[in-house]
Amino acid sequence: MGKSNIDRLYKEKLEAYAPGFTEAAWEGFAPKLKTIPNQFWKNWNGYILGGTVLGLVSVLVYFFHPNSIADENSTSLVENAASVEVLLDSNRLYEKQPLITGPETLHREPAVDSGSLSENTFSQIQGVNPKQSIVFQLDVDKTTTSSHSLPEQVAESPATLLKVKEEKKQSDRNVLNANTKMRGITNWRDTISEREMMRYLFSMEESASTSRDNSISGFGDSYKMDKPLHLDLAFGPMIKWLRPVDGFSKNELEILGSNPAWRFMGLNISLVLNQKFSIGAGVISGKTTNYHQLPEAYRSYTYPPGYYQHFPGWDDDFMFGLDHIRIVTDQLFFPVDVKYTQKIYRGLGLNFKAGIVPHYIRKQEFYYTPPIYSSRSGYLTATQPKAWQLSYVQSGLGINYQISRRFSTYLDGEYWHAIQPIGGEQNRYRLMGLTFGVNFHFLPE
Amino acid sequence: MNLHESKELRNIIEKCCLKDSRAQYELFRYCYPFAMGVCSRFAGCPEEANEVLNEGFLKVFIHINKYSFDLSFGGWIRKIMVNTAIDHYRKRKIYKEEQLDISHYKEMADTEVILSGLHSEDILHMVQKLPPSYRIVFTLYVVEEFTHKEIAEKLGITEGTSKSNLAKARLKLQKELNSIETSSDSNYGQK
Repeated sequence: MGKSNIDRLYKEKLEAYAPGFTEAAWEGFAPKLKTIPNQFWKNWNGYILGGTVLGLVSVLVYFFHPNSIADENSTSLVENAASVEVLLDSNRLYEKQPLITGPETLHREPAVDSGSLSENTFSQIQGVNPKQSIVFQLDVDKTTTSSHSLPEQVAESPATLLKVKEEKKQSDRNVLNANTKMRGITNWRDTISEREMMRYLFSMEESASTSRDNSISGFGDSYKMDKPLHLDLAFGPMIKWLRPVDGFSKNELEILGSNPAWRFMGLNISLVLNQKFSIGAGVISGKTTNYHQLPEAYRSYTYPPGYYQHFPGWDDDFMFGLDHIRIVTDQLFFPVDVKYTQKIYRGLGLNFKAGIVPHYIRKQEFYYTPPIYSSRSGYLTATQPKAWQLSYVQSGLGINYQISRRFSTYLDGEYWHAIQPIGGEQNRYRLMGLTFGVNFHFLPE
Repeated sequence: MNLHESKELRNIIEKCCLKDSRAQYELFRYCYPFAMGVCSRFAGCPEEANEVLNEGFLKVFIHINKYSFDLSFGGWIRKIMVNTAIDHYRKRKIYKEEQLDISHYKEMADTEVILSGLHSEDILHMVQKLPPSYRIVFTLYVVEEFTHKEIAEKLGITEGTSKSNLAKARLKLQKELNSIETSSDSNYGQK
């Protein structure tokens, strides 16, 4: 039985009923307002923010723990120290050793076998800071091996020999100046963690494989890297702004004004393989709202049913026009990419990346809004179930900057191209936007 | 109720998003007549309507951040109230089926005239007297313009049950109208 005039009369009469407001009604309702829970922590952004804070606190606690501070001091001192004085056993000579002024100098030295280090010798170092102790290892080793293992190139070049001699004189002077500062014996085991020691020894082996033989003999070897291969792990928060550029979907509606881009927050972790390449993975969350403003013909439902777009689960019973469809998607992205970095100037670098974006759709709702002149009030909704899918391929070009030894930042321009429609939609998005992030380096150079 | 163009309402909603209690009071006061009208159609008595209204407004204030200004605020409120009423009905599951013979149902020619002459509150009382299972189907179909398929999905019943309950609701209302007509005739005769 269809709707009749009597039904319309019932509807009109019933809709006309509107009782007046009373203060008693508010007094009956107001206490319930106090029971409203805090929604913030139910939001994905809350989880992400919480995770970020927790992660940063853990990292800070780990790296700024007293033991770690000792590691940090040892590293900085070895870079800044002017000289190292070595006190050997009472039956050995009081010996002054040439200074090693920085990591690059260290890398020029021949490889040192950790087994050749004398623990007895270490135990008698006076007033030597942790990293300086390590420097001493090298020097002692060099004293024992230099007579028979000096690089041949050095021996063959008089100019180089002269230079080395000058450097030795200079370092001897430096050692004399610093002599008085290096008193007080401390056990090297108290100040150098095993982790630091192992890391240092590994770097020595790497440096041995990248010695500048060719450059010394006058042939620049442009194929070799200036620095040894370096493995690092970087972790940090990021924020991403993306905007559809496919021409069909909009993230704003004229009547609503500005909403320039979707915003996502997330975390990124990168495995830095060497100076050039890194592999990154991340998780970002965001609730996006986008609109499909429909053409007039669509609104007056002259399109054949099969043509209707964005109607998950709807059938031919669809009997009224639409003004627009609003799609609200609560989702998690898991971008994975390979990044190539080229240093340009000091800490500034240029990077290119490419990758894929697996996608978890937590909730997707479609709001079908009728035209303003429609007799139907309100709107209808449809909900798409939760789903995993591989949604996009992505590429990006950007810059990065090394703020300090442990912190770097980056700004990337990105383009995402949809592999398939998102959830219940039929439109394939193309997105463009920016990503800004900060990374904390667990194993800096 | 199409309020989305009201700048004042927009300001109130924005303040409600910030949990401003004064704005919450203003919004409640502003929407109360409309919302209570919706809830009354689903409820059997004013107390039940008030219960549904309070539940509905609680949802409104919890989810007001999700309201988008491109939608009619009236439509949004209405949808929340209707869904709350349906939830309320499903929680209680008050099925009080009456065996009615609907084979004799036919719309009388003067029903329209009688209906036109009745006040809104009178018709509301007639609807409120219906058993809950008839009332909710009648209201959803006639007032909210749901299809039987949608009603069946919302209430967890079959389309056949929905159609049957609608017919029974109409029959009961027809009987009520007839009794009104009869009583008015008898009153007329006494004069």
